[in-house]
Amino acid sequence: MSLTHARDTSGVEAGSEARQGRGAVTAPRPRPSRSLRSAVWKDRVAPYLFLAPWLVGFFVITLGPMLYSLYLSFTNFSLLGDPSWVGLDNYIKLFTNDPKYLDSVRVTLVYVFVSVPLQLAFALALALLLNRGLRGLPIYRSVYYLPSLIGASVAVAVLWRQMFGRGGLINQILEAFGIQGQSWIGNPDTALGTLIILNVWTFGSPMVIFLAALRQIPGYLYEAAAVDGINRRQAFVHITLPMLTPVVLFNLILQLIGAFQAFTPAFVVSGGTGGPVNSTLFYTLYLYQKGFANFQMGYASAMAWVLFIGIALVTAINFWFSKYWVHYDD
Amino acid sequence: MTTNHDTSTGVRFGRARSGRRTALSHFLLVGFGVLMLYPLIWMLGASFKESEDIFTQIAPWPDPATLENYVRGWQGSGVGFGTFFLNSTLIAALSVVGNLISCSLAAYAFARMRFRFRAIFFACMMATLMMPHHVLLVPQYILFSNLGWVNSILPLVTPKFLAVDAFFIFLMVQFMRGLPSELDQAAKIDGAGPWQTYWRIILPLTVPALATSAIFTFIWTWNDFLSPMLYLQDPSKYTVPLGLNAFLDASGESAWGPMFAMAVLSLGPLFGFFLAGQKYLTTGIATTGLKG
Amino acid sequence: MFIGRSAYQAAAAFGLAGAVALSLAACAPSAPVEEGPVEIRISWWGGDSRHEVTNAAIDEFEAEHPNITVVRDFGGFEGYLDKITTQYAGKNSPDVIQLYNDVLREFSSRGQLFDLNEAVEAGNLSLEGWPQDVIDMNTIDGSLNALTFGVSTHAFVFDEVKSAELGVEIPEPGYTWDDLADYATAITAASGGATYGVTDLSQGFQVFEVWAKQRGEEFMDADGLAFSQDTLEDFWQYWADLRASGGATTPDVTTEYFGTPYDAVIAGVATSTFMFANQYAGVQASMPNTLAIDRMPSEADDPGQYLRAAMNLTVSSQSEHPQEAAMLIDFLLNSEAANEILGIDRGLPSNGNVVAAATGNVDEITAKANAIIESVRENGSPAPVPAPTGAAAVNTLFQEFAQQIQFGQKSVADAAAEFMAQAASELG
Repeated sequence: MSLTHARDTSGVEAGSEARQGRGAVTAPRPRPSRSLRSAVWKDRVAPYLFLAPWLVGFFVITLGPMLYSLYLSFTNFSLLGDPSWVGLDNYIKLFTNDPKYLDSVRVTLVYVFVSVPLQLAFALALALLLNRGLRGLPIYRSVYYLPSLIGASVAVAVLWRQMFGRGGLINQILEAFGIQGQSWIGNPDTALGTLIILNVWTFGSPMVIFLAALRQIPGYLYEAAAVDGINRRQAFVHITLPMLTPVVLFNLILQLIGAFQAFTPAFVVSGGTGGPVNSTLFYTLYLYQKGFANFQMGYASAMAWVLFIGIALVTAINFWFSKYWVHYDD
Repeated sequence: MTTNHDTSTGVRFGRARSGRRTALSHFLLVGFGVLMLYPLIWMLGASFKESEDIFTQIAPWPDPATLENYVRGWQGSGVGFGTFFLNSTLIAALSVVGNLISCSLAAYAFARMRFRFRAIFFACMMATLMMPHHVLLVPQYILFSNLGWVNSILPLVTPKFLAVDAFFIFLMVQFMRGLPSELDQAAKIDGAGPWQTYWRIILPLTVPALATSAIFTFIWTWNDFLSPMLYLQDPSKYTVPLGLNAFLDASGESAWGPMFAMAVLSLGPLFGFFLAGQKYLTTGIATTGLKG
Repeated sequence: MFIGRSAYQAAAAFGLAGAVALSLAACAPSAPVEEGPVEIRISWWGGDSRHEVTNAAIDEFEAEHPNITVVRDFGGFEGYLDKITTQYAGKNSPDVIQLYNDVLREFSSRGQLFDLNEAVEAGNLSLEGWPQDVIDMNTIDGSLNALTFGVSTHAFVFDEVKSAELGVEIPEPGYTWDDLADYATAITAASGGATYGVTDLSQGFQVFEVWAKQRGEEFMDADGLAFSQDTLEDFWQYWADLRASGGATTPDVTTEYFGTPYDAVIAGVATSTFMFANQYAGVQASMPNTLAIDRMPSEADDPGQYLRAAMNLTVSSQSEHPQEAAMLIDFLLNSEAANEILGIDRGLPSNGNVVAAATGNVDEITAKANAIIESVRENGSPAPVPAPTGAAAVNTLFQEFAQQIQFGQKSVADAAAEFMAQAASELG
């Protein structure tokens, strides 16, 4: 499917007239405001009141620790003693004298660019499928969401071994066809692949978000379209897809961020090592090893800030491109 | 790929689906479901196995079956899983309330209002999503430790009331921006202030997004391991994941059976909350709201 | 207050309008035992059964000392170290901390551990009945940083049932590395490759530790690496040969059971592996087949085995009540009442005087493991002296190079040479 059609809004306009009519008539009618509060108050102060909880949380709980970690990235900090200033040393070492770091960057990039599109395509396809008028849909929805309920615990490592280990389900199936399997999680060529499948396995979250977005598309758009004699395929291209684009953008950005920061799958499946031979050494796993296992929180903080800037760039590019394909109504 | 809108809207495109296609759909959906659920089925079976059978039997079903794991597991390292369940429920419930209120307020401001610094604040909000949280653990711990909040649920719950989970702000922003802008204009003409527009018009129309946020908040808070582990120091305050982790000693003897048994029970509240929330996913604007 | 803290405080105060107080004392001086009510906190990791017995023993301590309340913060192994270090950074560490060998030096070299000699001098901690080498093992620069909480030793286990099914005799006590290799190769051959005779242990630095000791060397001493490159090459070549002959697990299987090789024996993938003797009872309970347990294989008469700390108890230098904390340690390690309750969950008591109390009602299975530990207590080698800071990183390097050999990315000779160089630089 292609999102380029989203810019073609001819179908949407037809619906949007209908929506305008209905929306104005049937929106819940608020009571008129009691006093003559000045427009200034409403326009200038009100936004900050709405934002007040977030402002407090941002400046106290998030920004402070972020700035502190920025400071730590220029220090040697073992967690067990005081930080000592080392200037740019951590950053220089990252790029010039740490082959394992470059390994972790490579592993993470592969993971991001393979698992994110796969998971999103999967989630969207199933959301569309589960949005149809098929009997028993709530059951399917729930069943498909079940794997996403499992927390990122050590149990996942054991369960994954039951799937992809030497004696796991995959090899049992292969054996039925006379194929001698191997340990898929223990082989450097396939270990990352099983983690990508693990990520796709928990596609429940983006699927639910897609479902919610599908429910939010006003039914009268389709009614109006049907009156205009538009067929199903046209309705999908001209109504469903454009109306979904804000949430596609949301899922894309959040899944990208999540994949860049992926930690738990590799941590639990490889027992925290990132093995075999660094083939699942995710960026944040290496960061964690440095910070907490090797007592180098300063170095870990430098790694975090490099990743932060990388993610920010990718996100900014995404936002910039989004104006070509995301349809907002404002 | 094509879609057919849900029958509840009363709109159908084209002819009714043939019986054969429906059967095929069900076949694929069921087969796929079984493959997806195999690890969970294995865990369910393991929870009824005797400890010497868990990793020695290949078949997922227990033979012989025993309830011993549930009995022993429920005792929860001398504190009791009942306590852990209560603690987790309290924290998850407060987090849901906190996130729904604080994130929807912030999202409304970002999505539907014009003000100075909007772009900068929005960028700041997105930036908080991009920071690897492992390096924030220590500074945040120092902060909460100085506030004297360690060993209470305050470090776990307070951030939710301060909209620290930018994920949900961004989620709600994307949904609110999708709503017709004529709604606000109509409300304004009727003399509604921003608070009334937010409460009476936008929120009711964002129910699917709110339900999604509630479901995710509940599940993620319930499953959160790292923060409760750092901040809760008294077993009577432990949450379910801490209780589960206490069964496992990677360097020695692990009680796998009781752990799987309690992990199965732990899915209960999660699944229940998901089922309850799912109802609101399917009653969005399409079937209610504007139909008035 | 140091600079980093205040920089962060400034940032925090930006939002809090200066409400954050710089209150916590950096370092509490050691004081005599107090009369009034005292609260101390202890942290340990473990499984279900360990929590049960440890809580019961601490209850007993509280009954004996009504003015002392002990808060118990326990959990699994995962995340344990993160929690302790984060709490240290927050100046909020527990008073009594269970620590494992690898990280002990990281804490002590940074002055984060209370010198238990002060408690010995104050009469709150007794060392009567303690073997001198176990005390020396934890003494750095004259400061007693930790006391061993349970001793154990290296052991090898064999699946009796599976070996018999395949018609292969388990090596007799006094067996050599060659005997092990013959056994392993025979098992794999007899099973047609379905079961391996031994898990590949080339990444096991604890196994290499014994290998080096058997050649009169040490893995590490106070100055750093204390073995010759030839010894390491021989060790890695031994396992390379076993992989070639089919006796040892293939690299993908070895990786799957990387952290806990005995899980491969439980799952029936291999019939023998290395473990520590105190892990034996738990592993035996996880499988129906009977496991035979023996010492490590050895070529010479010197088995290269010693009483090894399973884990340690320490007092934090941040503790405001170090004397009371030491009293708790004294109770847990030296009292018969506590050891009767604790049993041998963490290994045998280091204090020879309470071994009888701890082993009063052990079953047959546990007794087999205890016999191995006791035989080492009687005629084993002395324990190695504390390794320098960076030892934990060297352990990781050892595993990484061994894995690169397994997957054919490096030759044994290249890997050994590179390891020697990199490990030396880690140890500074």
